[in-house]
Amino acid sequence: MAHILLSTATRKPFQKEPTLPAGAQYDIAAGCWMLEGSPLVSSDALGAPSTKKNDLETGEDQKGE
Amino acid sequence: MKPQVLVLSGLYDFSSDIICLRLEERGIPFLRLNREQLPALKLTLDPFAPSLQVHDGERSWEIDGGLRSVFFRQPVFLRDPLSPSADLGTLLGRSQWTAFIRALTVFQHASWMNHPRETYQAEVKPYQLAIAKAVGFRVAPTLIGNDASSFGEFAPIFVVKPLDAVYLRDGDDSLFAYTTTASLADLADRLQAAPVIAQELLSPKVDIRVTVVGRSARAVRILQNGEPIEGDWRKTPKAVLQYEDWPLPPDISAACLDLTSRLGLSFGGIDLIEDARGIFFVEINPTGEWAWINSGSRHFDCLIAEWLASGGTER
Repeated sequence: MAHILLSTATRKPFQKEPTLPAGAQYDIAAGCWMLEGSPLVSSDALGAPSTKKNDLETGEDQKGE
Repeated sequence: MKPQVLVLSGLYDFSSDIICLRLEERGIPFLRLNREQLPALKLTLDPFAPSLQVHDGERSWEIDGGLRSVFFRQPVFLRDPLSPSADLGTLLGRSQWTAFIRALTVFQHASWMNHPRETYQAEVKPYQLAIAKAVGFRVAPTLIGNDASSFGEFAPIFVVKPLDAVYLRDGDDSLFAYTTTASLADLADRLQAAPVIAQELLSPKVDIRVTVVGRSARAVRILQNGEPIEGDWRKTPKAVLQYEDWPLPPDISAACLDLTSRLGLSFGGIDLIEDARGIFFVEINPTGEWAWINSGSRHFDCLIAEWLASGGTER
């Protein structure tokens, strides 16, 4: 029988990177993603940061590397 | 440019985006290095000065003794569960760039949020539990191992959780293990291959998240339509989750700050549970998330930026 941690784990389609709005570009000097000249995190396009990691539950502490 | 704050992060860590914006607003020179982008830059570290030269083809940065602080948003354990195979160049780059990031600890004079040495130790859940108990927290009776018969004292139903995050890739799927409940019968022949944490079940309960930044501690209760959530709240649809400000009792606030101090952390996301007997410590996330509970009344982004800008003296 599968280990309990595996048999009770939640399965989702693997997504290596989050889906970003078309046109989003990372600005190394600004240290953030930009969309149409404004920070992506300040726009509605990314969605409010009301959940952990934009619904990609990978555990905290950068475990989803 | 000579950055005063170094942000060591990942390209898709949007929490770091927010911190960079707050640093920019405060006029603090900073540099964000994302692990995915390191091979596209030219970097030279002098461990004795110490200094770090960074060039991106157009611009240059020099990090030296003027560095005040480091915002460290990196894994400290090389889990890498999602890429079971890779070419030699990728494997080489992964190990060596990870080591390069660790090498930046030569900037010993800077204040780290958090230092990887302390993060490494503090991510060990049994160690967290031991220190939490030592600083006065209630902690649910706990055992760790792969011998289910040892968990009989928690029967009939108890909590089972991973000893470390279970985030695995299986073909086109990813698997994530949440905290679950089980009976001894549930574990028969299903535990030998890997150890787990087993704990007494706290139920009914209310989930509480405490965010510590420097010497500031703020808490929220996590609710669904105004009601506590049974089981692992992370399985609850996000649209119905509510994060309600919760005034920390002075003794719990003091225990949270004592805990981060004992662990050598300047930041910690602490999970607590309240049941009929009181407040229990669940775990602390040294590199935990905070943007999901940032709001008009909770400015963790500003607290973090001010801590970084002050070189760790802002309390």
